[in-house]
Amino acid sequence: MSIPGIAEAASLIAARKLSPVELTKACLDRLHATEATLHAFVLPTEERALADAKAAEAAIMRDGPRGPMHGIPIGLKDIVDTAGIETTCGSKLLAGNVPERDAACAANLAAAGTVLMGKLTTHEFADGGPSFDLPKPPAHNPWNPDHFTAGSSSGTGAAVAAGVILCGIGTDTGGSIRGPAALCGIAGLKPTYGLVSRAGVAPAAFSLDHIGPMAWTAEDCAIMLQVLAGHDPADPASATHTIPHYREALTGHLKGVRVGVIRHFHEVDYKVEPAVQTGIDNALSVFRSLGATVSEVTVSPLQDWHACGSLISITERAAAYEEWSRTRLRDFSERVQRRLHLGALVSGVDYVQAVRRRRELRSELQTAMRELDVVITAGAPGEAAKMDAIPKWDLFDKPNFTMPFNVTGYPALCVCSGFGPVGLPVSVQIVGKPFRDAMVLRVGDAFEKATSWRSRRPALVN
Amino acid sequence: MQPTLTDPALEYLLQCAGLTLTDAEKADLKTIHDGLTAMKARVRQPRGRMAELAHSYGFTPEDLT
Repeated sequence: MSIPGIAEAASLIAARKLSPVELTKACLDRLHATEATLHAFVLPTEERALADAKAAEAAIMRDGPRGPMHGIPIGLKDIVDTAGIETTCGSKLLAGNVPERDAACAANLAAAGTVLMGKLTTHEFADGGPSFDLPKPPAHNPWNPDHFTAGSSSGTGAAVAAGVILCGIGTDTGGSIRGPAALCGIAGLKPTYGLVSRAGVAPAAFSLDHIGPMAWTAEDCAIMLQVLAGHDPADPASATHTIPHYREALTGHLKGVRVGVIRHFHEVDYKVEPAVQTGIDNALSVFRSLGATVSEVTVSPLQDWHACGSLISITERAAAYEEWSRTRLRDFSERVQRRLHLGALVSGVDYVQAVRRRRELRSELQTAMRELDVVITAGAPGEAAKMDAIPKWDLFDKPNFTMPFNVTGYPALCVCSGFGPVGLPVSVQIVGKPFRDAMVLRVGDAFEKATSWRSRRPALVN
Repeated sequence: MQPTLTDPALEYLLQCAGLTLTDAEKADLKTIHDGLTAMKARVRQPRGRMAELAHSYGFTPEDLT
């Protein structure tokens, strides 16, 4: 069977035209067919998946679905704690670590009746890059397995694109949801900082860390976000904002929506590949055709945002992993060791200056967006690079397009905007104001429904 | 402009951080010093020393009793 998105599957399950067990078995068949190539899972949980699916089916037959996530096969990035299931953060350091409790996001998804297919591949502690000196190999891109998925939510990107799961949890400290979403041709939302609890998820850099949904479409991300969003006293950064109905905000039109384009990010500061530029230009045309107005905005150069976020990230990561850096440095992968070395070269004063700069940059974006609902730019500079072409010091290679919105905490979504000359996906990034995640999803959903990019799946699974 | 990272300076910084690196790793780390210096320059905009962050303790009623 072809694997539907969450919205379609939920509708079929509610109408009792699709059984959660049947859907789960179809996903498991895909897992068996693709895993040797994709390495999207560090730990498939097949028995748990079938048990969850049977329980969901029985409950739905008895009482109807609890909600649209009931009976939906999902995966969790392996930095998310799962009660009774090994959680290693992709690292030798946590081999054999079996948490006693679910992370908040895992518990919320379980309570919604989802089917857990397994723990998904991640860069070690959500850092570094594709490493070949870890217990498990890195995930490969289902559009072409010779190519990278981006990271660090690499397994989630690969498994969703391949239709092995309908959605999964990603985490994003500098672009780790949106990067894999962009390069794997799916939708990935970094919600507003504080909207989704981080309790029970391994930290990377506390003031930049976000948890969010990755799925085939923006609508599916909206459905998943509904289950994830909300205050949690166990996360000190958790917001108390009222949670709207995200799916109801998806109107399909953009009448009255004010779109800004930060053109200099992707045309001057770091010129993207032509396919990405075409995707952005087409997206602007689609937005106009759906009723939006489009204007151009200018902020500080992309390199400033990247520098600010990188210095904060280097320092906060070094602090989070200081003890192991001193006592078990050689148990980390080479890539993560290299990142941790950087902590020695960034002073306390450097960190404070970066935090001061963040405040200025936040204020700048706030002013730039005063008369706008969303701004857009690239999600990634081009198609996915080959697996062996990722620089070891990628942090200093080029600025990234996603970091500015970790620096500000604003919600940001990457959706597929076409395909490049190598046949791999390219993306556009849509950014909203704080706690206006529904607007971001609305724009992404309207774009997807007005274009045909969602009709194509990787040949690997066709 | 930040001075070049000398070997003794790098040794001192690594010692403070409690990191023990091989000679190859130290040489590798020195290759990105210019990149890191450029990043540090980008977060140092002209601003007065009074331009500090707002800091709030968020005292709760329980703190005040």
